[in-house]
Amino acid sequence: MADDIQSLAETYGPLLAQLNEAVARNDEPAFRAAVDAMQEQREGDVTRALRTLTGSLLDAMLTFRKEFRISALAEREVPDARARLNHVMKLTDEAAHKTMDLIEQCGPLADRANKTATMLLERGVDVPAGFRSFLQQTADDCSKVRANLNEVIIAQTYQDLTGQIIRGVVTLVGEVEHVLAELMRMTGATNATSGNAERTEAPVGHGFGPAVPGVSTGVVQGQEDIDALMAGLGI
Amino acid sequence: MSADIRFLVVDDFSTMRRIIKNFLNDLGYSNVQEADDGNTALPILKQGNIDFLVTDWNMPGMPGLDLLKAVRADPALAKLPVLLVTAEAKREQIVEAAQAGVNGYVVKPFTAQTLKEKVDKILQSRAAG
Repeated sequence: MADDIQSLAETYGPLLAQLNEAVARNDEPAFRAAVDAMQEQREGDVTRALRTLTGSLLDAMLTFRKEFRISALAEREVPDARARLNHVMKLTDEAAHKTMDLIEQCGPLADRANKTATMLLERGVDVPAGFRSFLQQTADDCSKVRANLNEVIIAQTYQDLTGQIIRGVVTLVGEVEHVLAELMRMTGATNATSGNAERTEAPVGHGFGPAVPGVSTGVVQGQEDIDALMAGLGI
Repeated sequence: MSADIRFLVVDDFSTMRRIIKNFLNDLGYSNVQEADDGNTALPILKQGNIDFLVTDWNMPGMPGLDLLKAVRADPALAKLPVLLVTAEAKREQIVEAAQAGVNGYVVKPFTAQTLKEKVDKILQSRAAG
């Protein structure tokens, strides 16, 4: 602080002296000239400070552009993340519908067995006690199976619940993507300028997880492809 | 209670629509229509052929709460029984739905028993009213 005051005193002291002298001489033009000189000095200080700040900002942007993987994130990895999440929603949707397809097929089978066993029991046909017991057990079991199947259908609610959560994350990722794109525009980062922008993919040994359409590359199109590939390799 | 009751199930997830439709069928209600948000539900409701609305809350387009308010604001639909089946579970939301005139509120995930109780209860009040 003392240094600042000292520096200011050195800069503005002569101007202040000119002002005082002008007042003492009752010299208005000299007074105005001294005020103008002080103002020019002040504006010069601000300009220098702005120049320094701009330089720092430019340095920061250059470092950012050079070192941060912004273009890889903005152009590929974040959109990929969105595609992956959408694919998860699609897979769970398909799995839930497949489960319900099968339950809708199994439910009537349980109903039919239950109905037939109950009908035979009600007819009171003369059958061995063991067989009557079997029919009763069948009817009871089928009722239980039917009830459980209904609960399995209700349990497919997970698809809606997880889907809603994922959809929220997809929206968030979209916003991040937008911000990154804006940052890219501001810093002028491009694939060409960001040397470290290449995606650092895990080695094959770590596995890549399930293939995601539109994201994963070099993926086989099913077991037939695998078989053909293996056969091509002599296996 | 009549098995002829006409339901409209509104949810943006086809899985959930199917679950509820399946459940209603099991209860003996086979007349179930579907819509995927309030905007598609409202024209169906305005046709006057729906007796019971089951709707989700969080949907793109018109959400369930807005649909409920639109229903209550329409003199022809104002008394329609509305059951919200939703993952929205904040106390203030439930209060808001109640204030908007919902007849029942089921939070996902739910059991078949819970859903049955709510549907039955609403239908019983409707029959009594």
